[in-house]
Amino acid sequence: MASFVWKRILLMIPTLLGVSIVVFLMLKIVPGDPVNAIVPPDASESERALVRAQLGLDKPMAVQYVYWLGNVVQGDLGDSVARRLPVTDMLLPAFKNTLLLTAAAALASFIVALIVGVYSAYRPKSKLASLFNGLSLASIGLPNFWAALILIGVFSVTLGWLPSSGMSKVGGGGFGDTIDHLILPAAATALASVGVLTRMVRSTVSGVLQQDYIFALKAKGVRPFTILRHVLRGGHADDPECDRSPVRRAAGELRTRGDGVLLAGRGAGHLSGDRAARLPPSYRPACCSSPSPSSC
Amino acid sequence: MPHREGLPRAAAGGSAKEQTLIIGMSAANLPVPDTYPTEGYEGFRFVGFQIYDALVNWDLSKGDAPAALKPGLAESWETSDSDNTMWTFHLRQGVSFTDGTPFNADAVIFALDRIHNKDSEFYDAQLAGNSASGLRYVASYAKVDDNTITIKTTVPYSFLPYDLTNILIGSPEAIKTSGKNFASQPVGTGPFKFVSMKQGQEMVLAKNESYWGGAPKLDKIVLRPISDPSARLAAIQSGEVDWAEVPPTESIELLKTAGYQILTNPYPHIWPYVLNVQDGPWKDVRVRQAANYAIDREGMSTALLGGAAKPATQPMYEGHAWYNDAAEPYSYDPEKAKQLLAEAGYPNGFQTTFIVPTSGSGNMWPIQMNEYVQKNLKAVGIDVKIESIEWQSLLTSYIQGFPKDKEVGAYNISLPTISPSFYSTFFATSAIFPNGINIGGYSNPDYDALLDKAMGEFDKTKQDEYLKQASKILADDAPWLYVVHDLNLRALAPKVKGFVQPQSWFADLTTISIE
Amino acid sequence: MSLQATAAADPKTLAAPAARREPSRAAVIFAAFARRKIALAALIVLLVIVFACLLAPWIAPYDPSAGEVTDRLQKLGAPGHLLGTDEQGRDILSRVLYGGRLSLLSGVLPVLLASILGGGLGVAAGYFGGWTNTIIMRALDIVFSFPAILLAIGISAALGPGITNIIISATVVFIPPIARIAESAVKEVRKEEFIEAARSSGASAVLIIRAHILRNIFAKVFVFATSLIGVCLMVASGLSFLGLGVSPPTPEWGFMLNNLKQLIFINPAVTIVPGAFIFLTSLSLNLVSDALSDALELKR
Repeated sequence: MASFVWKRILLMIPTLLGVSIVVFLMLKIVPGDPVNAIVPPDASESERALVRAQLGLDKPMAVQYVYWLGNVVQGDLGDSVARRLPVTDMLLPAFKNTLLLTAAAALASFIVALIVGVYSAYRPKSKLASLFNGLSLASIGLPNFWAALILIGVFSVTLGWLPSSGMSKVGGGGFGDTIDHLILPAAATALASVGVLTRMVRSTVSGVLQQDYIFALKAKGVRPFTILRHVLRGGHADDPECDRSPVRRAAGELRTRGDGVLLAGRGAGHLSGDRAARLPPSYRPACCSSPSPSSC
Repeated sequence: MPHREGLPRAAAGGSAKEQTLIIGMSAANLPVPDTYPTEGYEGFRFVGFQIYDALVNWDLSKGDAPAALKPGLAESWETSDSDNTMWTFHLRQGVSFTDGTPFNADAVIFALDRIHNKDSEFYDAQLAGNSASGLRYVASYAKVDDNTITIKTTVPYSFLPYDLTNILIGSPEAIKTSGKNFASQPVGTGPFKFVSMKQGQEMVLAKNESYWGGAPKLDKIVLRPISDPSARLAAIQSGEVDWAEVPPTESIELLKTAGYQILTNPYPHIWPYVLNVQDGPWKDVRVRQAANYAIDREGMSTALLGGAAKPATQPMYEGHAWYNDAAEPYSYDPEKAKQLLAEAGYPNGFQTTFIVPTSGSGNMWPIQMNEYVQKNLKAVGIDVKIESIEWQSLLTSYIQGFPKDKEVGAYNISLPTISPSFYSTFFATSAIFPNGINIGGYSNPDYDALLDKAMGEFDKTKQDEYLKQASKILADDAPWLYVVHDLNLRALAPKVKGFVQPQSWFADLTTISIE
Repeated sequence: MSLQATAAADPKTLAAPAARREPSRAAVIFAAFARRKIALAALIVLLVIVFACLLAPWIAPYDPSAGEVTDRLQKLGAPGHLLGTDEQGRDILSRVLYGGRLSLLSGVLPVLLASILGGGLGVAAGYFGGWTNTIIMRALDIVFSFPAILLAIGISAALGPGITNIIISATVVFIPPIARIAESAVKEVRKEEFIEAARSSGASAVLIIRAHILRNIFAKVFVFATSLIGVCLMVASGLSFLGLGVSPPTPEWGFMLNNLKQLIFINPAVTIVPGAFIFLTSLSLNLVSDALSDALELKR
């Protein structure tokens, strides 16, 4: 097991390096010369060259990358020209807010998905289960940049229950105030992922429910609640590398989707979410033939 | 849409006794509060002029006349009788920066060195770049004694006091101590002092009790960047802000009915297209006039913008001393436009690209307004491709001139026309990019001659007359496509009292109180 | 090697494609599909939207960029303007119909391209295994480790605004998930005896892939890809909503929504229209794709 973990961590290194190269190249492709943002418009070419040299932008791209990477691993992301601040000073507060919003949204969709998903798997033929199925698909199809606007219109402007923007009231910032400002963005974000999660929980649970092991437990007259506990743990693992626990799988799914919460709390148009590429769990075979070992 | 009367959520900020004004800015970001703030002139309006003073300030106390200059950190100034390029500024005495550093001639020299003297230890190339147009005519400056400085200009230049309104003075001690972090803890002499800033969320300013011009009534100002007009509307409707810059015009009636104060006032500000007159079809004055005749300004002002703007056919608005009623009238006349285009050799029109902002202070509703102009121009054969970019990138890109790698016909950029140096900065031959920001490359010797007269004229009435004549040339030559003057639309909550909407881009926040 | 032989040798194959030579099987699948009334309804809605958009030049009541500003912001159901008018006075129905063409295109085309490219990579990785697999899948992992929307925004911003660039960035985003599906499907098929038999009889890799592998993974990849179209539609219109898409006055759903959003608290009904079309289309696609996968018995 430990060697498996080590192997995965080692495998992550080239991936991370690749990611950093892609990010670095992306910044290079984006049009605009950073030097222009610094020097006066009437600066001469020699003045520009001087600034360029000071910033190391005259070096070959590969050298710039290595230099940049060296700084990054030491925690130095450089300074922002536009905001006149170290980039880390800008990232950290944003990261905190993103984390808060993502966690709140994840928790909400996790709880809802677990309840609804388990119910739907237990009573697949019920009216309620089909309703839930429809709602899950609706959630997957909902453009949440649009849903966010509607939520603000209803809950902030019309009803006046919740604030429409910001992270805290002026002079506020206490726990209750933060929660107030968290509800709408978290809801808009959760709306996007709850459908995907519900379907994942449902298909996982119904897979587990068909195991002989569960039938055996039922036949023995074990209490339904105890069986549910077994189900949530993933029943009887017939393959050690395969995790059938809906709880762990949903949590894993959430872990891989911390995105989309880009500019949290900045009001309407800024809530963009993504239920995207990691989509339909229903097409991820319930176990082990999953396309990605890491998500199984 | 129904919504609540009164503002239950609003008052919650601060204690009841504390006077706090919460402003919803139209900028997408909080201005970086250095002595030349970012986010264009909105940065000056809410941050620069609140934290700092210049030697010369704007008098924003009147709503019925264009704002004039008033003494700032300089109590008075004059040019030498024998040499009108030599200015003497007598500094205000007994003023301190909010960190206790005394304000004196050394502080002024330090501030000027920071943006003008490349050999100075604290020279800041970026600030210098931003301030360059304000110091274009400054040859040298010197301290005479603790309370007096002189500035020598390269030519007789009567606009200098206007230019100096943008040269804000920060505390030299604070700049020395904080170095490049000064923008995170700025210190000035202004009516408010910087308290804190949360990136992307809010900036808090507190009253400067010992402000030399008298302490403001407000205890605190909170600035929130809300670039989306509908989000600003939601914020003022739900009481999260007390003051919303340019809410959607469609909401004017709604807000009025609900008791909000809707403020408009003409002011020197214009929403034009800066045309590229050096290359392509726009080089021909007939094409430029044609475009100016093709725009239905009345339709845009009343129908599209609900009366929040007035037609613009020249840089200044009617009623301003520099407005010229003898200029080319630019009524809405598509037939004449087509005729002019045909004369210019474009009977079937042509294609061009306009770079426009997606939002940004003073730009009002750029995409909708651009679509409107696009339709007007299309009707006479000018096929415009709209390329929209984010406001701050547009500002950065604008001062770099027109792109060299592709054909761009115009920048759409709203501009304050508040100072006479506007006439030189944007239109003088000497300011053609890269020597200045006349990026379109407009050049007319008659205009330059007139401008030189105005710049060298120290008598206000005569100067006004020259500028009025200059306005006519600018209208007739049409280096810009004039569209509308916006009216500085803003909405204030009923409890905000004592604010005078001046005929200016800027705003005096010291007279405001909260009921 | 004949199809019958394949089927006989591979009883566990999850689903053969609805091959043209077996109309009966297609009929069976459709019958299974049609049992889901709601899916059938969704299919009809989808077809109506698609055809209405394709036929926009003939059925749209107005030119999508024509309109008088004095007619602006008519309410839903206003005379002559079923879905009202926008801020320039243009007919929203006409703009939705015309706009749908670009929106649907930017939903379908990236998935199609990503299926071809991602499918190809997945098949190569799955079939050849070893280093080929490691290199391809690790490289895809890099792309996959970016949040999809962020990656799409990044690529679009780098390439500049425009619908072509949106299609390119969405394609890049969807390649890795499709490749993973294809790879795992191929790996499963590859274990089968008939592949081994073909190999030992000297058949070339190309032939084996064409004759056996593709046939056996097609349904899986196809169903997965259809499920992505709705998502892709949203990613694309999201980019457009952020101003990275079409340039005015071209109608496109995401861009229309962006333009109308400042009215959402003043004239909500009109603003809701383009968003509702994105939602309706995406939902219908999901319902159809869901039922399709059931009909093909892909689900456990």
